[in-house]
Parts: sequence; C-alpha cells; structure tokens
Amino acid sequence: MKRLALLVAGTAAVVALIVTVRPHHAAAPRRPVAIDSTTLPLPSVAISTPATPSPSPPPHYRTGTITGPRVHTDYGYVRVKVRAAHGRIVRVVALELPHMTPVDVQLSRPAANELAREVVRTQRADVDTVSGATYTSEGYLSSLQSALDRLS
Amino acid sequence: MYALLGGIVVVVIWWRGAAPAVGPGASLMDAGRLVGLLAGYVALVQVLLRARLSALRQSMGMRRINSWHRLLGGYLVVLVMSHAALITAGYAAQTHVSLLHQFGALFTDYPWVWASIVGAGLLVVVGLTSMRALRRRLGYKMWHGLHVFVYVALVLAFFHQTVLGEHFLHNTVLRWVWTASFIGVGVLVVGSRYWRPVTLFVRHFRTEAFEL
Repeated sequence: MKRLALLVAGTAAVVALIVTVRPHHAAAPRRPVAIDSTTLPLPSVAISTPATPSPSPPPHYRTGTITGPRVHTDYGYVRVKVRAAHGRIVRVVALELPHMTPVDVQLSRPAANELAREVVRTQRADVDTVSGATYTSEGYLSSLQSALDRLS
Repeated sequence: MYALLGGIVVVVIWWRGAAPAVGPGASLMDAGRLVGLLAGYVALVQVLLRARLSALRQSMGMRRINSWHRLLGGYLVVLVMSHAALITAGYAAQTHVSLLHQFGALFTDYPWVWASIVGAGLLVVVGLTSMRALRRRLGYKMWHGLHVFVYVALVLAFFHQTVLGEHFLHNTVLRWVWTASFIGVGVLVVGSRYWRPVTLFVRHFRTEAFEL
C-alpha cells in the first residue's frame, strides 16, 4: 500500500512536470500584418524592387457556384461550396465538417468560419491554417482549391 | 528496470507522437492522453507478468513477480481512473459543459468509449476484490474467477485506443506497433497458460495410453 502510494505520487509529479515543460504550439504563424503606408514616411523616389515580392493579384473568377470534392482528413470528411460573382469570391460555405466527436464539431465550425472570412478577404485558397484545427483547415482549403480551379 | 525503460518509451511516444492539445483544458487532455498510454503499457506488463514465461521466472523469481503484479495492479486501476477523470475534465473544459454531461457524451457519442468504460468497471471490481480483506472473504475460487474478467476488460478497452487515440489516429505505424504488441502479448499468454497445458495433457495422456 505504501509502495503504491509512492508510485502514484511519483507518477502524478512526473506527468504534471512534463505536461508543463512540454512546449506548446504558439498560434500558427500569421501573415505579417499589412502596414498602413500612410503612416510611414514615404521615400521620395520610387523603389523599383520591393523588399518582399508582392503577391500576384488574385485571379479573376467566373460567376457561378461550385461544390468542391469531399476531402478526407484524419477526423472525417470536409467539403466546401464556393460562390463567385463579378470575378470575386463572394461566399464560402462548409457543407461537411468533421463531426465524429463533439470536440471535432466544437473546433471545426469556428475554424471553418475563420477560413471563409480569410478566403473572401484575400480572394485565394492559400491562406494560413487555423491553429488547433490544422487537419480540418487543410481539408477545407484543399476542397476549396479544387472548386476554385474550376471557377478560374 | 526494463519496465521503467518501457515507461520512458511511452513518454517519448506521447511527446513525439502527436501535437499538444490546444484551447481550454489542453493540459488536462495532454495529461489524460499520457496517463492513458501509460495505463495501456502497464496493462501489457501485468499480463506478461502472469504469462508463466520461464525466462521471466528464472530472472525475477516468483516472489518478485507476484509482488510486482500486486503493486502494478493497484497502479493500473489508479491510472485508468485518472485517465477517465482527466479526459472527461479536459473535454468538458473544451466544450464548456458540465463534467457529468461530458461523461454522458463520452459514453454515448464517442466510438468504443462505452466499451472501455465497461472495461474500466470490470478492472475496478477486480482491483477491489484483490484487496486483502475482501479477497480473504471471497475465497480463492471466486477471486480467481473474477480475475479472468481482466482479459475481457482489456479487449473492451483496446478499441477506443486505436479508433480515438490521438497518437494512433494520425500515425499508422504507431497504431500497428501498438496493436501488434497487444496481439503479441495476447498470443503469448493464451499460448503459455492455455494452449501449453492442453498439449502437455494430451502428450501425457498419449504416453500413459501407450504404456498401458
């Protein structure tokens, strides 16, 4: 009984220690925030080459609604529907998200909303994955990319 | 000593095998996963200690085997209970529901968790009946009969590990290594405890018959 208590206490201490010590992922590296150029002193001469290559302008999408393929992730299937009008992505809706467990639902729904916002803002499918929902994000963006390919 | 080495391997698997949990309740979930993996490992050691392996008996001796089995038996029950408590608490924090509600959800909504809860219940019964006072009152036959249910408990608990276990979900190799060690230990114990006595009996019977 004494040995057991000792073993349990030891294990509890070790578990608590290594769970605390283990480095946790910081939030996924975000894109550098766009700097408001009006607040910066602008050089009087035009710079011919920017320090970082500016992203190419988003492609022009034809008007229509396309449903992307079902993409398999470790937690379940993801499928999105995307609508484009006047050359722009107007709306992205997740038709299917991982829902095997309530935790999946809890995590994937907000992640899908965040991705949809980001995609509409940047007009592309190569946005950052949402930290904490990496697998769902990857499936989501892959389904979206296939759909966008058919719209461009 | 070798048992401790295995424990370190389990910690390494836990550390390297899956990304840490995120969000509220993350540390509870991480601790729960680690304790769960540890419980699976200790369960295998327990079965091995009782597999009547001559190599083990020669190197450790029956007295030490028995004493270790007794210690680790209590330890296993504590680990399994802690695993259940930590995971329930972690998930409840993540989904913002009460502990009781979360436990119910785990039981009904998650694949194979109900079976592992039944298995844990069996394990607790076996653990309680092995406490000296109760064991003496039950008698050897009853106690031993109940102990056989540990095998049922381990089989019931196995499936939630490979179907839901964060460390096995994303890692096929790890999943197969884990499965193979469970099957391996199972084959070993059935072979040495049940198959071998049968073959010995048959051989003995044949020799006797021949001599008659």
